Formats: sequence, structure tokens, C-alpha cells
Amino acid sequence: MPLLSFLRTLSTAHGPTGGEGAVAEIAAQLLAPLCDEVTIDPLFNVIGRKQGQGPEPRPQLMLMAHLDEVYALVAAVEGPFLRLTQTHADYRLLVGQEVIVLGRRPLAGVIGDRPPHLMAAEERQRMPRLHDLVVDLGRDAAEVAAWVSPGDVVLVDRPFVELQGRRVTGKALDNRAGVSVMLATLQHLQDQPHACDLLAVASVGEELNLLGAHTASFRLRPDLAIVLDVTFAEQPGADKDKTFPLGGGPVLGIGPNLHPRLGEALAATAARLELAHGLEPLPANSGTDAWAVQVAAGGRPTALISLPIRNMHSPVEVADLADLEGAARWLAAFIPEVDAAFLAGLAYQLPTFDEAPA
Amino acid sequence: MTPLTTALLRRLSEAAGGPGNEGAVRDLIARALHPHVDALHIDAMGNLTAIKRGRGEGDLRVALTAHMDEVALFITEIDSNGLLHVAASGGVNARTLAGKGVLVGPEQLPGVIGWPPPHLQRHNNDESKRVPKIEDLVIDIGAADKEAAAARVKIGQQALFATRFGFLGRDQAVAEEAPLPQKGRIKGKAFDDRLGCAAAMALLMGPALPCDLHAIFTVQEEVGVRGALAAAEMLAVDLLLVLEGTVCDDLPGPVDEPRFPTTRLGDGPALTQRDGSYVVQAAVLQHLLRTAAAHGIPYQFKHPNAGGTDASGFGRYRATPTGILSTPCRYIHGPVAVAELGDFHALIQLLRAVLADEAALARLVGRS
Repeated sequence: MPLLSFLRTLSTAHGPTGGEGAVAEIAAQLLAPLCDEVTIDPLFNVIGRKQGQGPEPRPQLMLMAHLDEVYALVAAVEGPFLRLTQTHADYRLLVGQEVIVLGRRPLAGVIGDRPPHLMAAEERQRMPRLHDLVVDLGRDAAEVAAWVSPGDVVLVDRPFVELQGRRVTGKALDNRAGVSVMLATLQHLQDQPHACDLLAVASVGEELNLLGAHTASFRLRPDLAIVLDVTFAEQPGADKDKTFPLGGGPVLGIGPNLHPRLGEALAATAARLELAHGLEPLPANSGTDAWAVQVAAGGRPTALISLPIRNMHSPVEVADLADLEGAARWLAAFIPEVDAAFLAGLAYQLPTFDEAPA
Repeated sequence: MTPLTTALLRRLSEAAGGPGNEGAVRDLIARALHPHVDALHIDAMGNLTAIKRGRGEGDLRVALTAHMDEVALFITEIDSNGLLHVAASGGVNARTLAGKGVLVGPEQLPGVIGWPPPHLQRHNNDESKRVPKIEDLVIDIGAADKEAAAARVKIGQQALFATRFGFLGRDQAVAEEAPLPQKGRIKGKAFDDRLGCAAAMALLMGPALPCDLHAIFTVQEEVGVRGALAAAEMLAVDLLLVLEGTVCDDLPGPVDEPRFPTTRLGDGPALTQRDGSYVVQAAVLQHLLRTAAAHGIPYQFKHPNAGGTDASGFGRYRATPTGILSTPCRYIHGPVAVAELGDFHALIQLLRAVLADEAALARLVGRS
């Protein structure tokens, strides 16, 4: 299955933070033919295992990409309409947006705006406030009350669309793009031997508190981990020094959240492949699952590969498939290099001492 | 039973027709009407006129009019990054633009209106409350650079919302080729004024009426009733009825801001007494009210407010008695509007009742 198909299937699935069940089942179905075993844990982390060919004990390498997507919540049911609260995305993009309300059953809705004809000049110049917006479900108050409660999740309803060149747009490319790269990497490795055992984890809860990354890496205790997530692509309105060119290749993170030698090894592989890539300096928290994985159960050497997207956390995120395919090629070339000797090389060593300690 | 199918209303809503670029809508309407009318004309502006002869003895002529165009984004520049810069053709609600999908140009290329990630924005300052200027927004069609974009898009082409027509709040599927359901909420773009076009088409596609029926599908209403102005001088009819998809703001407002809705969804077609650009003659309004009451057809008044219709264009040259009847539509001039089919069908029912009574019409226009 081409990477495009993985991304199309995953982008349109429903998976808000804390409600990843539906997208987890889809991810598990996509992982199953590429792994020896797939399980879904009680939090809906999806864990695929693919055994390596090296001698035991084989290093355990974890790939991780988060499944959850940003969302808004129903604050109140007001007759046939819903008011909104707490959105992890920019609520201003909800004005004029079609949505799905995950009530007792999923319900399609529209968040419209007052007609500009009736707005005073001053009102036309300022955005509505979050609590001014209402969701219109096209149903009467009794039906709405029967199916929707405060706290229900509201997701944007956006199709996945191919643009010009190799670019695509849709919702939740953050981070279904990362999950798709993980799947494409496993596909490359179907006919390519690797010494280490692979753990492919589609994690939950990243957009809230990295809950899935904490719990999965604590339980699996991988010997090393590579996290896949998205980063900012160049676009109008975004600082040039915090963004990467779309189509310019995947991006390697560097900073205290990430293991320096693991990053250097990945950079060496990219150089060998002549793979264009960016380097993202992250002075503290990377803002990804890597922040949790690094400190799990005594500490895990962790790397981060990011995929540049435009309009992050919007209904119209834009990615370039060339960046995603490059990341999968990169990982598929790197993973066969990981064996017991490589793992030993990652360990921090004491200096040599002139004299034995007293 | 309505001669309109769900498929026809879908095609009308989804057709691209920005001001000055109504060709696709015009072709669609002309093809649908061709088997049902006696004549079709296009004038120098691009207005389409359809004529259906009456079966009555008299020579009474009534015209229905609805505009084909919709508010649009107009491509003004292709930048070095392959992004398209735009201006508004008509009163696009700028508050709704960011983060939406569009279709660009005659090839209907998909694109999106981008928005920088919230992580890179400064929050809770004045900037974040201001509506972005349309000239600061760009459409991204996925082109890597100017050359790639210019190969597919030309300056002066239009971008329209990529919104699919559909039903809202309905659990059963609707057969596309079956007659439009009598009740239920519909959602889609360009309801202003494709619902007016559809209402006029329903009359022309139905059985012949006593009077001659003209229908004028106008261009460029949204940029200053240009089509109506051009057509007005040639229009020699006894009565003109303007059909609109009009503003509806029956939403709960903020508690600190009491509102007086202009129209309400589900309360029937809205009759205009006066709007920002036209005062309906009392005799015409009374005739519409009496007819509605006699047939038990629900109606509501559109509360006087800003905004205008082609009535102001047609009224500029000839003092033709003119009425304005509208289907209320929430969220117009944005990506997706919502309307109630019950209101739409009641509007058509009222039109049919008015047009069926030739004697009353003749008295109204002083020809009896």
C-alpha cells in the first residue's frame, strides 16, 4: 500500500485525545500485515512487534508516532444549538467550518457566522469570541438533548485532498503523517533483514500530556527509540527561523531532549543516502512524545525525526509526500545498522582513571 | 410534486459562478430549462432569460428573477512560493476564510487558505482578535514555486469554497434523482442565490400558467446588481418578483448583546417590506399576503435592514411593480449555508398561487 493510502485512511479517521479508539483500530489493521503481532493496550496505544534476525539478546528499537488529534469540546447545549469550550486548535478557524460532534452517535454540524450584511463595521473587523460560536446540527432541541452532552468532542470534518505535485491536505496530518511514515518504514523492512527487534507504537494522548508515550515506553522499556512527529513548514505569517521548507526533506531534532550519538548516527545514514534533511535546534522540550520517552524507566536514548507541515493544528494542514517518503527511506536504511555493538556505542562511559578508586 | 431533484439542487449549489464568471451556472440552468420553455436568450452582460408562454387568453406578463453569481475570491497575484494572493469579489465574510478548502479556476484545482500554527502566534493580544485582511491570506494549491502555480492558474481566475451540498440532521439517505424532499435542513454554498434560481426553475419546469412567465437569471448581483441594471431597460413586464436566498440570523447571541433576528429558519418564506435599497409597493405586498393567507401558506416578514437585491437594479428605469420573496439562509457569504426545505417549497407554493390567479394579477397591475 503506498504511503499516500496510509495517510488518506488515517487522516479522515476520528481520534481526539482521550478518544483514540476508532483511529487505533484502523492503525492496528494497517500494522497487522507488517508485524508479527499487534496489540492495543487499555489506553488505545497500538503496539506492533516485528522480530529481528540478530542473535539474542536483540536490541529493542521503538518507533513511536502519536495517533491523537486536536479537538474542541461542547460547553453547553442551548436549545438546538451547542456552545463550545476548550480547543487545542485555533478556534478562529472554526468559523464557517463543518464539524462532527462525537455525541452518543456522531452528528454532522455546521459552525456558521452571522451574515456580514448585518454586522457593524467594527464587528466585521474583529473575530467572534469562542463562546459566541454555535454548532448547528440541523435537528430540533429534543433530538440534540438526547444525543449530545457537555464534554462531547467536536472534530472538524475535512476531506483528505491531493494538491499539485506531491502535496496533500487534510486534518490530523499532525500526526497521522508520522504514523504513515512508521507504516511505510515497516513496509521497506519486509524484505530487508534487521538485527534488532522493532516495536512500532502508535501512541495516544500526545496533544494533552504525552500520556501514551509515558505509559507505553515505561512498559516496553525499549533500548532506544525514534519518535516521528511534525514540525513547522515555511509559510506566510510564520518566522523563517522556526520553519523548514516544505518538500526540503525530513528534519532531525537536536538538543537536550535527544541522544546526541543516536542523532549523529542518523545524520551519518542520511549523508550516506544523500538524503536532503533539515536540522531543528530544540533548546529544551521538543514538544513531542520524545519528551516522555527519553525519561522512561531509567532513561532511553531517543531521537526525533519531524515532518514539516503547513497550517499545523488547522483543518487544512499541508504536507509533501516526498518528505514523508524520505523519512521512511531514512529509517529503513538506518534500522539495519542497529545491533548489539551499536547499542553499546550509545552508552555513556566513565573516563579511564590513572589509578583504581580507593 | 416538485419537478426539482436533489441532484439538480446539488449541481446548482456546487457549480462555480463568481461575479462575471457565471458561465457554468448559466449552462446548467439553460440545459435544465430547455425542454420546458419556449425561448432562451442571453444578453450582452450574460443574463439568461427564459420565456414560457401562458395558456390564458390575456397578455399579462410576469417576470421572476434570481441571480446566478455568488461571492468569490479573485486571484490577484501568484507569488514566488507558488501561493495565490486574492481579493474579494462581492461581500465575502472575511471572518470565515482561514482554514477552509477552495476550488480554483475553471479546472477546479483544490487549494486551501492557510493559517500560521498557533504555536508561532502571539496570543491574547489585539492582533489575535482582528480579522485577517483578505489581502494577507493566501491560497495554497500545493505548487512548489511560481512556475508550477502559473502553469495551472491565471490571474483573474476565481476561487470558490469547496463545499459539498448535503442534508443536515437527516439520518436516511436521499435518492439523488428523486424529487427534493419536502422538509429538512440542507447545507451547501451559494444558497444566495441558487435557491432563488431553483425556485424560478421549479415554476418554469412545472405546468404552464395562465400568464406569460419570464425568468431572468442575472449576473453580477454581488458586485452591485450589474446584470439587473443592464437588463432593466429591456424588461417590459407587468409584475416582477425577485427571488432570493436571504440573511438569517436566528442564532442565540451573546448574553450581553440582544438581537432581533432578520428572519428565522422554518417560519416560511420571507417577504420584504423594505431593505437597504428598495421599498416594496404596498399593493404588491398586500397581494402576496392575501394570497398566502388564502392558501394557508406560512410566511414571515424580513425585518427591515441593510442589504439589497436586484430589485434596486430593475427598479432604476421602469416603475414595474416588484415584490421580493426569499428563502432564509443561515451563514450566507461564508463557506457553508444552512436552509430549511419547508421554507423553500412554501415560497414556490406561494409563487404558484400568485401566478395561477390571472384575474387577481390583472387587478393588481391595473390591467383588468
